[in-house]
Amino acid sequence: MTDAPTLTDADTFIEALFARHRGEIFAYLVRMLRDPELAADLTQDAFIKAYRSYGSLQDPAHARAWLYQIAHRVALDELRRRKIVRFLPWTGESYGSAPSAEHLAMELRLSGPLQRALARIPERQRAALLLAEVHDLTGLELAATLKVSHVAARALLTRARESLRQALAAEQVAEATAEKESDDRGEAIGSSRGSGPAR
Amino acid sequence: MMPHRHNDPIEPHERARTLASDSLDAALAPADASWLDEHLAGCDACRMRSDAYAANRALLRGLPAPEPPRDLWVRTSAALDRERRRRAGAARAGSRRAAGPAAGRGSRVTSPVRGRAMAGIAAILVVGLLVGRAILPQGVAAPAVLLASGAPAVAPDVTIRPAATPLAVPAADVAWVSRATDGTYTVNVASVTSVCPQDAASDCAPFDAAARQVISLDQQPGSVVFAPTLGQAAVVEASAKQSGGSILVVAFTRAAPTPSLPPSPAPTAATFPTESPSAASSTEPSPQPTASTEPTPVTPGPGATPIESPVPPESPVPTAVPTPASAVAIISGIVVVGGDAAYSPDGAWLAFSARSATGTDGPDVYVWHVGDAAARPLTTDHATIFSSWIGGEILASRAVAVLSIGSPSPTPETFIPSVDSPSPSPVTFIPASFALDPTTGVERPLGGSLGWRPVVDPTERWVAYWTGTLRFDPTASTWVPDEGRLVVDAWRPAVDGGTGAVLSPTQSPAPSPTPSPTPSLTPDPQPLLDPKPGEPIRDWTLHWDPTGSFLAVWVGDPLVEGLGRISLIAIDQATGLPIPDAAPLLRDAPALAGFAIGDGRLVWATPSGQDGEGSRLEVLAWQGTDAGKTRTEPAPAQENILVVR
Repeated sequence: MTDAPTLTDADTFIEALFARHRGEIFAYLVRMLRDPELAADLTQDAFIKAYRSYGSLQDPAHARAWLYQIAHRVALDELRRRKIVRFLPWTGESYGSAPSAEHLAMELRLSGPLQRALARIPERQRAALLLAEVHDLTGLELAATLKVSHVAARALLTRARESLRQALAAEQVAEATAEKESDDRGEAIGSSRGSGPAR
Repeated sequence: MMPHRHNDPIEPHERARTLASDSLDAALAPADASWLDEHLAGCDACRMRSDAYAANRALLRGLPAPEPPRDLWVRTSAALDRERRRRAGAARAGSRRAAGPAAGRGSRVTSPVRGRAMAGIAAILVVGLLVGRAILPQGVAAPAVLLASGAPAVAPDVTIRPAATPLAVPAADVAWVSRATDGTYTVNVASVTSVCPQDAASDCAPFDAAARQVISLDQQPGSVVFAPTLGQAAVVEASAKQSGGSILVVAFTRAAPTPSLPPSPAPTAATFPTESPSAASSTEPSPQPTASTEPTPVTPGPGATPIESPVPPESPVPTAVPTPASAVAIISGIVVVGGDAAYSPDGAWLAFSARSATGTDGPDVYVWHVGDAAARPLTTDHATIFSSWIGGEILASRAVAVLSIGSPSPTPETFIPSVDSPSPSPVTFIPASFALDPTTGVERPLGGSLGWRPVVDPTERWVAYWTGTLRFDPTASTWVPDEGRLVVDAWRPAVDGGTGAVLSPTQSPAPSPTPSPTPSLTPDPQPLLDPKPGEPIRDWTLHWDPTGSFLAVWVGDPLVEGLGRISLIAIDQATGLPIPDAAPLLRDAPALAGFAIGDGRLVWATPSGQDGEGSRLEVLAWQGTDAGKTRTEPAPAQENILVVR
């Protein structure tokens, strides 16, 4: 026998919550942070925090939105922490271990124009877009998760949609410019080769 | 440029932007909607912006869904365990500091908030609560695994080895028959609460380790089906599928745990004889080891022989002491043909079709009402087979003759088969299906063409059946499919009066005429499986999942009886079309006859010899977009597992 503490309703509840929502919470955190390893750690943190604050859940029907609220706070905390860390001198240590092949593959998948555009827009707008468009939170759930009024949540969503539109347009312009520059370089190389002495 | 004053009305383009965004989340008020339409019609930039919002939403929804690492639960559970210990330590310290009643007031155990939360969550996550227990990772003592019945099951005090994070699925029992070491056959029940990703199914520990043995059989059964209500099973003897045998009904205590493996048939499991009718006619039942109810004499004989006592009432109360069961033969001297014997959805009836073991008569539909002494024939034309239940009615099929020269017979007539006169050449036989009242035996015609052995999905939207021509097999003394195919069609329950004659198939590929075809509602019947040239379908079993979204199809090998392949077909709920590549998909997996399908669950048995291993029970489970498999340890070589439905 082990001396593990007796499992309580909170344990059971969290395990069930984990079984049901781990995938979407992880996905949300990956999309917010663009770092799957970090997202996995933060998913774990989110569930631990949910376990600790289990008593604050007033209505179990809102368990999913409540969990998103916790995950959102975890994500924002991490983003704020990053901003602080950014000002520290680099010591040669990166966060966590060297990126795995999976990580690199994920990074590649995340590096499309949409993801880059998402990364350009303010964090709260990004969160609002992801929660509403991808994770299907209702307007009320979105407001609760972001801790704003329903009207403010709608306004935030409108701003987020406009920001994403502009960011995507900028991404497309940047991509077209990069392609043109690449083509120009290719032509320049080709023409310089073509101008060399014939064998 | 004029400055924008605070009390200006909202700028029209800004209003259009807001409304365009809002319209993606909810329907606009009619006035707003018409204003927006009007504005967009005259403002190209606004229209492009509105289109972009919608397009970007589609882009966002197409973002790949990253999969969490498979060790996420292991990590999270370990962290939760540390948190638990920390809190337990803090609670102990707190109780030492403030011993007495006050120490308990802050306890979460008595929190009214938590109580409310749990009361509600129990309704929402009752399955999930059960699921969570079974996915405890390394280093965490496994608590008692709860079963859906609420009874404690085997609670091994073991630590679970580290493995891939299993996919939690709603807890559900699976049951199967295996051969015990002493030569008897045991009906086992185990709860499956998690599966592993299909590419890592071997990471899941075989789930039979915690199986309970609920019934022991002296002889090999041909099929076993559990009643929808707990504690009763119908056992079709293996001989009743070949030369002649009995169908027995046995009551058992489904929730009683057994302490150890390998199974010992007594006293933990109820044992009853399954002799052939000739031998059993003078056989008394084996004494029940620890009978708590009166032993029920088994007096099987030829035909549907009444017996003295009905099946004893179920004992739904879980008990640590296994309650021995009693078995009664509800019919003997028969060969079961057509669809599997099946309980009605309410568990009140058992229906099947059978012919006499002597082969002098063709098949009839029989019913047995729970509590009755014996099964009784519902048809007497010796030409009708049982297919399935739809609600409280039976779907049955029979062959009708149509002239194959010239115009079809105006009134198709039932062909009464005779061994001496197989189907005469000028006549083609086609299937006709109808509903039967299990109490009165009154036939009710059904609309549309339902072909042979139709099976309607539980939501009563779709029906799967075989369409084509039939022939009488004098060896088997029953009707068998000739040329045709399996299809899925829209279910048309209503029928207008009618004469009792059943309509002909509209999709028969056979060159036979199709008398008075009834217009088929859209969609037209869709082929279920691509027919293989030279491999006509002779034997099959169809079962729907409870949602009507998935159809499992087992098709028997034309050469080896009892061996076949199973497929799980997703049905498009809008069109009724099989979705060719929808996950979770199982296509042509080698399988023994007999399988079970539940909500998000398919259970089948592999034949021995697959990958050099013995027969296994395989479970494919799916929930949302997650799917995975788990299985039992392989049975010894040459011993095949039988799935209990």
